[in-house]
Amino acid sequence: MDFCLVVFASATTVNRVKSVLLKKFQINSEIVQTPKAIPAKGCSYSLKIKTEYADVVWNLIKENGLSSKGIFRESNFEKIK
Amino acid sequence: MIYFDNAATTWPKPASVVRAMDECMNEFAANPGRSAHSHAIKSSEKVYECREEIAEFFGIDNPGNVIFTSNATHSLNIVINGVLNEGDHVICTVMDHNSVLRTTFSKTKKIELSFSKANPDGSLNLTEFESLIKTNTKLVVMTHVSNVCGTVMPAKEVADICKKRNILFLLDASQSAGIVPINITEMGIDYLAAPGHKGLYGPMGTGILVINSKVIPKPLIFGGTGSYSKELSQPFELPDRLESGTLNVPGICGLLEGVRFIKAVGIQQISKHEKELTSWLLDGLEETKNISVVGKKNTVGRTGVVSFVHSSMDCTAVSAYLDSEFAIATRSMYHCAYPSHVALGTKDSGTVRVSFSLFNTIPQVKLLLYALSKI
Repeated sequence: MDFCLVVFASATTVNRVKSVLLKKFQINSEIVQTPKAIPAKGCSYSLKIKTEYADVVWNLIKENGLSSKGIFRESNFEKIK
Repeated sequence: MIYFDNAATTWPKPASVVRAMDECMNEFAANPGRSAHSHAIKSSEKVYECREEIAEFFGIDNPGNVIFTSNATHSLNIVINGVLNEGDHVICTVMDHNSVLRTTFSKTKKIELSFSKANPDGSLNLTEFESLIKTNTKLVVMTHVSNVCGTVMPAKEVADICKKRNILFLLDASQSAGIVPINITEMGIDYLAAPGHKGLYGPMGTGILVINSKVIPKPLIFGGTGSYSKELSQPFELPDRLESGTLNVPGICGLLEGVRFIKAVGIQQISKHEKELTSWLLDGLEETKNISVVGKKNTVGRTGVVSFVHSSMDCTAVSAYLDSEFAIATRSMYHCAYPSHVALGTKDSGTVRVSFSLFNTIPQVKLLLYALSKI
């Protein structure tokens, strides 16, 4: 299974996106610490989701004006959004 | 104990509030928004659940605009200190609490301050209020409900006036949150400050600031937020901008259940219950010799906060008598709102204050009336 990490600075934002994904799109996700290898200006949280949902999350972020550092592949930290 | 001091803090709390705090302390009370182990994540999720519940409760879309504070005074201080600049004018009312009055007064070397007067029943004169607006008026701060006499202020009308004149409006909902329906988006309120431990039935040490404005107050305190750690400047993102330091997670878990309790009972039901108790009390006080009710004499335009004076016994003696002889808890004197007493005609006497919650009953009110009749 291919996963990606949606990186946020704020614990509130990561929880908000997790909550909306579940309630509105029935998409499960998991909050994890952002790996140091991903540039995120210090401590941050990421939402681990299946890569097939990356577009859904990205649209959600853009539509709501949320702040995200981007979406990265979990396997090699390649930035995909 | 018959507890009639709910305007100070509600007691008892719903069992679910106590259980939630106990569960948090025993099972997962780690630091939210810092580490990423399972307890920290659970803490962070609970904090977010509470933000979400409060955002929905007060009618805003973005839970990130719910700021957790330690009490309503803290919330009021954030806005008053965070939006006013030198040369600005702020309007308060004489019915406000010292949490507003002292905070605004402390800034009078740099800002102008005006007080809107009140009628003898504690209500606001909107025409007089509007006449105080100047070209440099930046902020209006107003209590939603008087903590002395329970009079409900015209929050929507004041918000409308502020909106038309491009003035920020901060509502002190210390005595109304959880008791009077509030939708801050529909009402046009820019900032709402409320304690978690009064009408929202959470524990002491919890408060909220709900922001519905593009004008974000400057932080009152600075420090760690768990985010943007490499940067020395405070993050701009809410709630982090205004929430430095570790949050009161057990308290927030309790507050979450307090808000859920209100939603389950229904705010209309709570309001109806308190009105019924108030009606019993007002009718009974009217028939009790030597007692005069302060403020509104009927249940219209008021909540279950009732003040009265006794003609031959001072207010502190009345409270002491009720406590020692009948185990009835009331509050007496000025209730941290002396200008209200000037307006209400009780500046020399102070008042005895009775304030209800959902847990009070009519037999309790009857016992209070009996006790007062025996003075």
